[in-house]
Amino acid sequence: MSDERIRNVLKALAAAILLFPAAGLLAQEQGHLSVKTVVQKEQVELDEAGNEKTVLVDAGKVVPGEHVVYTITFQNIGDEPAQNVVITNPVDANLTYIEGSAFGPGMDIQFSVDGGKTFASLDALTVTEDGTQRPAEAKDITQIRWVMHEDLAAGAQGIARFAAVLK
Amino acid sequence: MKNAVKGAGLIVRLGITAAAVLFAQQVLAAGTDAGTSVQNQATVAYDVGGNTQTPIESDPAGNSTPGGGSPTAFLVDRRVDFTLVETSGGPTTPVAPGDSDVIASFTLTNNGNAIMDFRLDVADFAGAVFGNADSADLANYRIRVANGDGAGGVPDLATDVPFVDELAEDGVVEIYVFADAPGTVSNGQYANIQLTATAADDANATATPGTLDGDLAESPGADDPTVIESVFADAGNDGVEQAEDSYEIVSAALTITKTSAVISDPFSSGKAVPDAVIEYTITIDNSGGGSAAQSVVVIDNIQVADVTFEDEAYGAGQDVAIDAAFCNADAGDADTDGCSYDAGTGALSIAVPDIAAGASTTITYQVRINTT
Repeated sequence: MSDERIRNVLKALAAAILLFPAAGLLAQEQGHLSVKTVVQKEQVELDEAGNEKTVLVDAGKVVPGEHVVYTITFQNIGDEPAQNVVITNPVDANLTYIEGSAFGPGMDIQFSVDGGKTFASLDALTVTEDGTQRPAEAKDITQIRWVMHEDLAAGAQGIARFAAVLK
Repeated sequence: MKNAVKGAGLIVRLGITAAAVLFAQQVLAAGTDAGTSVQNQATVAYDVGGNTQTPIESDPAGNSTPGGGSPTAFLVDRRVDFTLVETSGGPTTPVAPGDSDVIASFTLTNNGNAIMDFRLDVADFAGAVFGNADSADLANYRIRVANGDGAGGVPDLATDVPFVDELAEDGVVEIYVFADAPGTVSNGQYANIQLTATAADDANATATPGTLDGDLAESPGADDPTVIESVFADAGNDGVEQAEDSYEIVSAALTITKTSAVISDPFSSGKAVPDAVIEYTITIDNSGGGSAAQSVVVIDNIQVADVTFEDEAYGAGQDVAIDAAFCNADAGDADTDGCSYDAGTGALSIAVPDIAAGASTTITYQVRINTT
């Protein structure tokens, strides 16, 4: 293709992209996965035998000091397997990740303390505070990432979960 | 995260923000501000057939279109937590009968996660406070919370408001209760009061300075995600706190005794016969009083038909003895020493210096029994 033709294609492509509404700058076609995040609270209830059991209920009145649990479910709604599936989740500034609560069968779980630039296991991360370096703690975590070991087969579903305290 | 749109060999890199935080939060000791929307959105990146796909963001109901999901959010509700204590921690506030605008002070601290009003009420308290049983009532209670224009930190009765207005998270405020002591209360009594503070806020937690918001109620049932509801975390979990204070009535308590004795008589008989001289002793005792007796005036009536006031009984110009001092009981108190005697009516008036709490004063004067 000649340079001029390339430029024309680029201009046409740019124009095509600009025709999409701002929120839909990306392709509007449906992807292969459906992703859902729900937030819940733990609640202690009594079962039929009168024993205490902990259940997850919709996060209702949440006040500082309480725990919430985020559950991310992702399903392959396409016909082909999904490969290299990576779930990335930022931790809101008003939440503190609860160490050890990240859960995801068949996935490696990693954390970031620098806004998502680098990811590693928590004990490999350090933070610089007041000029000195110290090991990263749960309160420093800015992102959590789950990396699937295997492909997600067509029709299959995966689940990732973590808990946090509302500051 | 990088993203790629493929077309004509051109790769366009687009940044994707994974979550939006709508409010810039200042997290205080009391916790995340009520009304904050806490948001979370996960992003899933994947390949199909070796080709990188456009990542898909999560949605509370599930989303499969890139750019089509919304964050999962919850609203931070009000955690109502506050304390009310009597400020001095114990000693009673002294008040004399007839005093007006005596002050008892309390401290209210907002330990919750919202800026709030507090409705204040004061009432007589029938129970014991600081070990003092309640035995009297004060009157004309007025509550004032200083807004900064009172002299010396004490509120302005005329312009300050009777409720706590828009107290910040971690904020502390002084509440003053003004009262008057009736003239009928007496030394040694205690008047106990109780101040009640009730948490209040506008339903949407909007600031309404100068106006007392409505009382808060803990919302039963399921959470309404569009309304800021309240959870009571104060003592008793009811959004109401109370504190008591005790006023001690402190006053003089005078006991007056009058005795007489024959000083001399023509027959040295010690009997009250004509021409005998009688000495009267008046004792004013404030030993049970809590404070000095002031402006004390003794008025005695000499029976001029039967006796005559003995002039200068103790020396020149010394008609009446008051402890170690003397005064001249002249007509109309012309010499302004506080003593006067009207020979026509027999009225003897003696001004007495302040008698301290626990002290007493002795006054003596003499009369002679008439011979005719």
